[in-house]
Amino acid sequence: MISLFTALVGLFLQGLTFLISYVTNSNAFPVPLSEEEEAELLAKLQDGDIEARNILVERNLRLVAHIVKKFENTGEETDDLISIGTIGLIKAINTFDVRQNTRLATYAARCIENEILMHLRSTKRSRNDVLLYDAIGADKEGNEITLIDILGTDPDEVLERVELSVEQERLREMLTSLGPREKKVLELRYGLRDGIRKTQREISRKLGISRSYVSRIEKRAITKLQQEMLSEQAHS
Amino acid sequence: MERQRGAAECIVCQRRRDSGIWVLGMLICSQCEEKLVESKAADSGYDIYVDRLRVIWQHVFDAEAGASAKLMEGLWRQLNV
Repeated sequence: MISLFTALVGLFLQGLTFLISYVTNSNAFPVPLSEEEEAELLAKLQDGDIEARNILVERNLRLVAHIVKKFENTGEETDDLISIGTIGLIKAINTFDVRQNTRLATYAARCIENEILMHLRSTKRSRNDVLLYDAIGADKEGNEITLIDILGTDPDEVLERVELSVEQERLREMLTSLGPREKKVLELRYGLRDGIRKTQREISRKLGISRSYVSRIEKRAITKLQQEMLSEQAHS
Repeated sequence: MERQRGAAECIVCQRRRDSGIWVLGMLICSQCEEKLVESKAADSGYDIYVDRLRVIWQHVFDAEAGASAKLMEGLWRQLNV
């Protein structure tokens, strides 16, 4: 019988480790190409065989999982990195030049890594942003506590209410400039319709997308609103 | 030379298309593939590609979730003994 400790350690260690071993050992992922097979498929691709291109992508998918492993300590979600690596692989197949005398796998590995690095660089800029409605913990009943919940000061109620209603109206107008999904995420996240604020996890379940994607949509929508507000101020 | 796989729903634009790149039975149509190849990580539409391409790996993530559930079930059983 495995000990409780072993099981717990196992639970923590699995995830990416599981992913790598699954991809490497399961039959769901085609085996990597030999040098000869790769050359043969590239020749076919040059002759216009589109099917060869599909095979070249599929037979290099394991490479994505292996490269993602290098980035396991970046704090990014594994499924995002895997997706980004796949984008890198597709870019590699599209831009590979046989005259360069490099193996496709070598070139693809560089493209996959580059794609992930570019993503990390682009997210690093916004990583230090802290939102007032970011969750910072939970109360005894498990309800989410946000930063604004603990930053409360005695309000000058009348003034605040008037200002709030003016701002709400302004915000409602600005929301029309957002895409439908961005608008939906902000409405759910900040309870703009019914006053009930949902967590990113709840929204991700409702919309059928990942939590990290909800987070990115939310950040993007807020940036858009900020820009809109700044340009409005500049013109007034 | 080109072998046709027939039409399918593109995993990115979710429209029915008959040409593009096939990855493990999933189609990325030619138009979306072209845009994807041109896309940069900082572009506003990039997240959509990241989200939609996840489906290619879904069975891996599902298997991982299944393994976690099994391990949790084992833990639960031990705690209740």
